[in-house]
Amino acid sequence: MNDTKSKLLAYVAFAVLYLVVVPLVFSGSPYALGVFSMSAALSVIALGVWVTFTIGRINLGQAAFALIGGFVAAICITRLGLSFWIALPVAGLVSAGVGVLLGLGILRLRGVYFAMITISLSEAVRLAILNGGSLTGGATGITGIPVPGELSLFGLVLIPDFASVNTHRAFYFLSAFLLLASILLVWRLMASRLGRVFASLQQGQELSQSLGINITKYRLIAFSVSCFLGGIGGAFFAAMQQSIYPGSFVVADSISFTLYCFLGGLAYVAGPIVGAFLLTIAFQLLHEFQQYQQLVYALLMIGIMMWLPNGLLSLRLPTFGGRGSASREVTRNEA
Amino acid sequence: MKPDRNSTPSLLDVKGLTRRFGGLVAVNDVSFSVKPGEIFTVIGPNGAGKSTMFKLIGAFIRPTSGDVVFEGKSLVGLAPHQAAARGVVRTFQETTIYREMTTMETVRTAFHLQCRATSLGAFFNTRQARADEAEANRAAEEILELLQLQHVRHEQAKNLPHGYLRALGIAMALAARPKLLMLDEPFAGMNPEETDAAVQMVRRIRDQGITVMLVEHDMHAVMRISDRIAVLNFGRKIAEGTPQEIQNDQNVIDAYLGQEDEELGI
Ligand SMILES: Nc1ncnc2c1ncn2[C@@H]1O[C@H](COP(=O)(O)OP(=O)(O)OP(=O)(O)O)[C@@H](O)[C@H]1O
Ligand SMILES: [Mg+2]
Repeated sequence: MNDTKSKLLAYVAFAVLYLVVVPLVFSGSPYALGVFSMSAALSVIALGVWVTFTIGRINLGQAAFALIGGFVAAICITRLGLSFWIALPVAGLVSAGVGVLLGLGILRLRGVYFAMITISLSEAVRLAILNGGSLTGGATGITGIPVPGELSLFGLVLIPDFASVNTHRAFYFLSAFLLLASILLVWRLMASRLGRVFASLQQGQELSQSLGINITKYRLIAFSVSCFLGGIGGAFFAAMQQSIYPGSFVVADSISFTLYCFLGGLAYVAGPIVGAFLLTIAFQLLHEFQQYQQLVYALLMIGIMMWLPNGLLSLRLPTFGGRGSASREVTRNEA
Repeated sequence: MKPDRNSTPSLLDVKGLTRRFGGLVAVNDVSFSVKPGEIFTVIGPNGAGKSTMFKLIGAFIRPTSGDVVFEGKSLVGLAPHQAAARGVVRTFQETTIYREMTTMETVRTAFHLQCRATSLGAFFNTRQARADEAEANRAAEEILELLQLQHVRHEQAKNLPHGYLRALGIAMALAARPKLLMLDEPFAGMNPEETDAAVQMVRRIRDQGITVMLVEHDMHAVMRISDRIAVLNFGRKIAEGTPQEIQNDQNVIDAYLGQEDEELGI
């Protein structure tokens, strides 16, 4: 019981830090708030990649779904004149829908084959958007996306127009909300029977079938949640940058999302989040090394594989428990 | 205990079942029936088509021709999970397990078919979902007890000794509450004492009302445990009958048993 109590205390402390202290301390620094917001958005996207890991698939196509989400949101807002608050869920759902359609075909593949085909997916979607004519704006993408407007229900203002408040702080809170909601979504998924089923798909598909598990269905559930999170993250990105281009999310980003998961640790829901925040913030601090980012990422990837196969969180930081029964220590840890 | 072969309707009817792999006919026009409550064993030399037969019955692969009728309804064309939902569950020849799951998690996963809550219900942790979880826990404990796995309930499968893995495989199959349980070589690699215990276990499973089909090479165990035996050779059924009948069947002795006299101890 004491353990639960201290855990709860840690969560509360963390929430206060994230939701109160940080936005207060940095309220005068749009740059810092922007970095934190971006980290949160990337966390949401990477969390999707993490979900596909739980069914034993390495998803290198998440850039495609972030791109789809970003463009769907941008098109909804600029072309159809919809509110951001409608465009955001639409973006997530369209991404998830595309994920289901593609997943029906590609989720049969495993291992490197799945990884390879999802890499090509990242590229294929980029090319499709590049050639999307006036709808997607081609190479110049969609710019001048207005910031989210007011959200009100029966005359009651739930969220003020972002333009009328400290816009950067508003985006910070939006990103924090999306991140916490995503964590809640994934945590519920993993704590329920579905989490166990996902883990079973990772460890023995045929066996699961013989136990009456409809593997096609559960793979699709996992993948569509992954794509949904990718779409939501992409839509947030488009809104915050007020623009989106075919090059906003590319293959290299897909690989980065995977790296976030590895760095934080695949066995933890918090893994991709820790990875996303650490790497995003580190690269902002080491600004002058930006050109070497890919190189550093590559070295980091190799280093993690060799010395820290279960990620940073396996170093037993008590605060970040969240150990889903889903993907315990991954098989890479055999050695 | 012995089912009356003429009056009881059969649980499983295999009718003219054939499966080709390219030019090879792995299962060739095989027919037999399994009665409820029986222990029915399929024997035959390596490559005779026994495992293929199990895969056909469990709908893991489709027959080239012929039919598999379970409780009066054909299983052909179903997905494996649908066959499992009808009550046909098999364990695996290879000790296929969920390596990273503990014994308890494994059995609870295998409880999937008993869960009434929908996926969405499970996600929102509805009352039904919580009832499912409680029931799964209870049933899992019961199965662990039956198979004497209680003391390793929190051990990951990859850390379990081999003897336990087979019990774990059976625990999983039981959690799925099958009507027909197909065990592929459950006694392989066991010493005589382990085999004795396993034979007892299979009997206990049958006594719970589960019909059991076995594929097994350990003739001594087969002869002791089986109500009836079918013999496959090069995909064809060459004999069917009680252990006694099979032991005295000239076809079987020529094709199979003859070469293995020592093993048989007959
Ligand atoms: N998927 C497949 N593709 C091609 N040939 C196959 C396939 N599965 C089985 N076979 C062949 O079918 C034949 C029967 O195989 P099966 O595994 O059913 O034999 P078995 O009786 O179970 O043998 P054992 O006692 O060694 O387990 C073998 O010759 C095998 O090589
Ligand atoms: Mg076999």
